[in-house]
Amino acid sequence: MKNVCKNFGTLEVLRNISFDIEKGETVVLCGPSGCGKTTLLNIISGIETLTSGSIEVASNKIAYVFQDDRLIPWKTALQNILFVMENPDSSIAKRILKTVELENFENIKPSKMSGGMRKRLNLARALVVKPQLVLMDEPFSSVDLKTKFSLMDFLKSLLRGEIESALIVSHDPEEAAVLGDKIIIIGGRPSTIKEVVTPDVNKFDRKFNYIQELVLKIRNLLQTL
Amino acid sequence: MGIVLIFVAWQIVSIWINSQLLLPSPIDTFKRLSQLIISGRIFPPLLNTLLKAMIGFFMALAAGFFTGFLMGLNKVFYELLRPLISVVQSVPIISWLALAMLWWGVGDKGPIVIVFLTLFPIVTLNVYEGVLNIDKKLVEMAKIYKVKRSRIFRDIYLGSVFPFVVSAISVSTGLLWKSVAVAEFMAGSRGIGVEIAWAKSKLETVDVFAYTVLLVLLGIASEVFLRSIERKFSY
Repeated sequence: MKNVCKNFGTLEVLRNISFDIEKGETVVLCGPSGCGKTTLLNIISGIETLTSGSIEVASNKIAYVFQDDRLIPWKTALQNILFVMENPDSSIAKRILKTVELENFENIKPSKMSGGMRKRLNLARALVVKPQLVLMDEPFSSVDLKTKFSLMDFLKSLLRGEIESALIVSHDPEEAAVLGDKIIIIGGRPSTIKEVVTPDVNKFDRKFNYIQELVLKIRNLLQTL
Repeated sequence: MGIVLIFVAWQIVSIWINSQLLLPSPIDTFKRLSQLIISGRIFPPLLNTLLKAMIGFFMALAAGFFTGFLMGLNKVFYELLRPLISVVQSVPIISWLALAMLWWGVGDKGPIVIVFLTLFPIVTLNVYEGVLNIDKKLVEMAKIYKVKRSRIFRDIYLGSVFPFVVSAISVSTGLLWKSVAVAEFMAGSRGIGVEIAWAKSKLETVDVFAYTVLLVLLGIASEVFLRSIERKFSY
């Protein structure tokens, strides 16, 4: 991504955003609410167009884990997974549901699921297309603290294997400190990149103290915006 | 409980009036209905009425889906077709019947057309409402996942519109049986409506009641059936 700018009419939202996501890397885009993080994801996924700059995506296999789930309400969990598959295959879809621990809920509709289950189904839908890049918009929003931590652990395990590269948008320093290989802080009006934090411990080996240290660092950076 | 009350009141009034010609009792009516069923006399007109109702219904469904989608997806089509729907809705059934008789004479075409014209605006306007209510975010999601257009149409567009149509039809199912019977009564050559017309001309009031009860039962059965479909697809 090079010098990406986005204007909505006369309102300049993003200015000169440039960064790379390497293969196998998890980048967390951290910034206050309303700073244009979701807009950036929408530009990468093709929902929005950019005003200037360029984006080069090595693969067109992109999946999007939406903040508001966007599950089809009249379809069951299994049907929601099958819907996005190029060649719908129930056995593959069931295997993915097992990966996200929803194997006993394949015939349940989203409205009958808890917030955490819907998030996992949302993740499963992204995984089934075997994406090379997963875009995640506040993946742990609107779930309680306990669910959030269990989902975060779960996502970390997926980042070891099923998910190749990910770009996670979050306003939460904790999520960034636990999951990010690279943490990009954006903010201001218009939003620009303020800082790039590169933790020196691998995301899978971070101890509690190191995570706390990172959280503090990110929180301080966010407070300066 | 309400139904029992109706029958009790009906029985009391019929005893009070004491005239088979004016108001046969519910007992006599059901006796006559069972006679018609046992003798098998009821089945040819019943099947004919059912067939005409179904043909008109499916024609209205197909045309209503097509027109409703056009109107929902394109504002120009909406502007063009909305007045036509209003006209179809406002023209009284008897005017359509008169025209049907002038064009095709007495026969099966009139009742089918009447059923079609009764249900077509209802289906169209509900499909139109359904299309307007399609969650654009779901369509966006499908496009990001590069889902084929045909599947987006089937699973998101039709899926969103379906509950609107089923609930509209289940509410207006009574209208379906009423319109087919009226059309048969006035412009039909066979069917329940024609049987009622014959019974009336022969002053067989009990037959009029028996066939009417049958139509009411059909209305209730179809409403129960459609409500069960509605429940199955609710979310």
